[in-house]
Amino acid sequence: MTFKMTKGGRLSALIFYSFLAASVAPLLSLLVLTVTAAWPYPRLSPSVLSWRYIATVFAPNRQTAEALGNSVLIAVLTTLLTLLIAVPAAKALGLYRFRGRATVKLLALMPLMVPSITVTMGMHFSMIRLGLTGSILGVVIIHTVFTLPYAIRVLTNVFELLGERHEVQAKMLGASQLMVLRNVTIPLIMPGLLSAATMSFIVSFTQYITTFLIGGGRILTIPLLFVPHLQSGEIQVAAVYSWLFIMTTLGALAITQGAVKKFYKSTYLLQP
Amino acid sequence: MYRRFKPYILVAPLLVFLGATFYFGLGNGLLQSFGAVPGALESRLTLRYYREVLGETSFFISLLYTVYVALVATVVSNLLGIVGAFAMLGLKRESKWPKFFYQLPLVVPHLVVVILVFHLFSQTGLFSRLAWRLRLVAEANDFPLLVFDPGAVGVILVYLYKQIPFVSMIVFGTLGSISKSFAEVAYNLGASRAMLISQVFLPLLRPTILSVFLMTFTFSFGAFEVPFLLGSPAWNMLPVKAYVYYTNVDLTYRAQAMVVNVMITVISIGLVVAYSHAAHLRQRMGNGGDI
Amino acid sequence: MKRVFLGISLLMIVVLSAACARPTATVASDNFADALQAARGKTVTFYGWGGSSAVNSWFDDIVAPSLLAEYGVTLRRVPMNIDQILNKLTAEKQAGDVKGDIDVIWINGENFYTAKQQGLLYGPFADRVENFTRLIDPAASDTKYDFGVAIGGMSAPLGRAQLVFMADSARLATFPASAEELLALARANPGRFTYPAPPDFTGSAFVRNIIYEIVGFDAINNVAADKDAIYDIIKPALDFLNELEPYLWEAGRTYPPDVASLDRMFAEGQILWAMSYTPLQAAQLIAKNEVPATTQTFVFAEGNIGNTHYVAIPFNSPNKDAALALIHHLTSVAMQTAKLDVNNWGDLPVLDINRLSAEERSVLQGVDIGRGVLPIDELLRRRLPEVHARKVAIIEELWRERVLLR
Repeated sequence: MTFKMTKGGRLSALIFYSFLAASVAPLLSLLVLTVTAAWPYPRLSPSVLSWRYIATVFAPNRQTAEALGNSVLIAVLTTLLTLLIAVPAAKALGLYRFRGRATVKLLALMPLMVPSITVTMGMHFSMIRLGLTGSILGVVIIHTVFTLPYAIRVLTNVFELLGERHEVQAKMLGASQLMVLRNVTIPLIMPGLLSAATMSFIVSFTQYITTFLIGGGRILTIPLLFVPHLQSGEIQVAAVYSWLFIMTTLGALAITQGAVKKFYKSTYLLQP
Repeated sequence: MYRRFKPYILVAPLLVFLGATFYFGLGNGLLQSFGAVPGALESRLTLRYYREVLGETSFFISLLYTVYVALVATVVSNLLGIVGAFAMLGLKRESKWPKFFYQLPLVVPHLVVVILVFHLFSQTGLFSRLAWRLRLVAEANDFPLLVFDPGAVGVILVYLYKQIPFVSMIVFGTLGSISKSFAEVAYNLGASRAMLISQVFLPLLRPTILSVFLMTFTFSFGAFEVPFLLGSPAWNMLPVKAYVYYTNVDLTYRAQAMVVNVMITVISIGLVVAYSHAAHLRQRMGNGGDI
Repeated sequence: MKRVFLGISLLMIVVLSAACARPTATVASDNFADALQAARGKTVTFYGWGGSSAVNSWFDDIVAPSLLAEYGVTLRRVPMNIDQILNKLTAEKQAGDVKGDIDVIWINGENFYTAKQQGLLYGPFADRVENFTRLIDPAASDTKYDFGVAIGGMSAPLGRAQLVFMADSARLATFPASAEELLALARANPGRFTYPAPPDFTGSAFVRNIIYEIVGFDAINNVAADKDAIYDIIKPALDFLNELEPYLWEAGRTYPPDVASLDRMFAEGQILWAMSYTPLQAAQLIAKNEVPATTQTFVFAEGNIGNTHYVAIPFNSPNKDAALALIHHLTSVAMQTAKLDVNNWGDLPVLDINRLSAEERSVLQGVDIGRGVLPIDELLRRRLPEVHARKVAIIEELWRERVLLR
């Protein structure tokens, strides 16, 4: 599918793998930190190990389970809401040349350019009035504001590259609107959907200020539990939360990718 | 009839949602920067806070500083990200797992990267210890200060860690969809790898690169958490400045916080609009447009 | 399509009308016995700084189970910084939200001042808490004032903190007992001392301590909360800090942004001292092997700043009776003793020794305060009060302008 350059493979490999090492090695050292009780200067390895920090985080009354459950639930709901709004909009932006297209595109990308604190504080007041603060719905709404730009960007790209012909042909062959959607459109944009869903999940999962202003502390998520330890220098506890975080995200992504693979296997339509 | 309005109907949920949430919040923020107090329906709007904030040299110093940090982070991460994308393209073996792990930083939240950078690059961090082993430094204090430093090296490193894979993935994605025929034709006509990259790929990638550059720049420019945790106490980046105003015990500083936030927004939007215009102009002058 | 539209409109009407019905805030029961009765079976939500595992453990593992066992009240602890808590309460107050999420907040200093000014607190409630009236000395200065602001029963003391310094006696032969001695020591060991940059809480306290050393507490206490007036008074202290600067870490070009960073540098042997607001911190660090066992705590001969931290009830607490129950429990001898224990939090008690029975007194005094710390009575003897909250912010600004940015 992609063009392969047959010359210079070794240089490419050198560059790629050194970048890879630079990405992964720090995370491994973070893993070591989670069980480090003492690591005085100038040692290159810890002097005393301990399970204490992991025990603290996973102690039954430490709200970790609650926070994890909330984080995942909110991320999933945010992803669903985002896709619900973004797919039709991206279809319009990608397939039709209508007046105001460029403006809508710009409007959709704006949340990326405005500091999230500004917007959240601006919305806080009204959300209180509407009773949305301290609720999962409120948090999902504010997260969606910040995941939409990514989803729109990816999906618009996909629709642009795809074109309308498959859908038009299916309709000409007699398929209903719903059948077209289910059996033609969605499978075709699946890679884009996956990418958009992934970004949405990650962005929602990592939200801190928004969850905490709108959730008001009633909705506990992992970032809320983890950030206080950052500032107090309890780096090992922060490291444990970090790894919990990374593992959960990777787990969710693996499940999604697995589900999509199964979906492809069960349909006899196009492979990406 | 339906056909004509179809695109508008399709984008309606997006516009309604963002309008009711984001733009409403933005509008409120804007009003607050003009002195409106939430809840008090009749507030006198004033330019006073703008005059106060923009009248201080510290604002412009902070602005230049923020631009410096964002620019360095963005330029370096984009350059290296593009290099990474081409490296992925040139890999001999079809490598699923390495590619998966290359994207790992995308999953790691910024705050965690802060811990990583601190753990590695602080004066008692792993690199310092390595330097000590190699007898490059005699003690911790001799290792250069890379966190909390005026040069904001720690902050930039955090952005690099996140942004290089991000740029790589986006550029690689586009590289993948560039028609094989262009590259193959040029290759078969004897183009060297360097020529291939500079004459074929890079020009075709230009819109993607510009777009990604803008995205990463505006993010580094407006983000607050990383400079808050790793930045120097003496040199405040704009988003941190806004936060300091906001958390002042005296609540009248809220309006000033909003002024700074509005300025950040205006600058970011200005850049994007400038890019849009440049892209449009280029299209009109026929120098190639979006792929 | 029409049905969808109708559905959405109906939904909006329901939501908006629910939002428009504005109930009034609840109040606590009139007397304490009724309050305890009403609190049974309820949950009390406590918001406070969550950055210390030790403090979190004390709340979760000691306070919560005993609260449930004795009063049938469930404790839910939410980690949040006080500035963000006040942010939330301010927004809720402006929006007229009378059914909030928070029952008890952990607060002190400038933040109490702001909260009181903005009407964010419920009260006065303190005299409705039995343990408060029984065990706390009403004439004590920290019962009456928090950072110079009259409390008036709007908050109840939780514990006492004091700025202390720590150093490794194996590496530092003599500890500086005054600002001048600190300067001499810094000269002899360039690059090995520093302090956290205000507005870090501890760094700010250190700067104020130096001000007390150089110009005296009364001078700064009596001046008005005006920037120019304060500058005139504290100028000698700022000059001292500027004189100290070249001998500090990084020659004073930058300072560690918070006390955690400073303590980390001390633990790594980079800096020769550390400081803390928790007077018994050294014992905990030694017990966890994070600092050498030869670490010792010390204060200046003229005294170090001490302050008290408090708990208060937000105006829109949904469970005010449960809040009273929690505060009563926190002020009990059992909890204050457990809190003092270095294996838990290591925070000084607020109880009036004279009001305790002989048995209670001996339990309190028998608590393990660990190694490397100063005895409590010595701490209390060398304890200086705080100035008014508004001056604190001004001093921080002046430090930034005149010392950091020089």
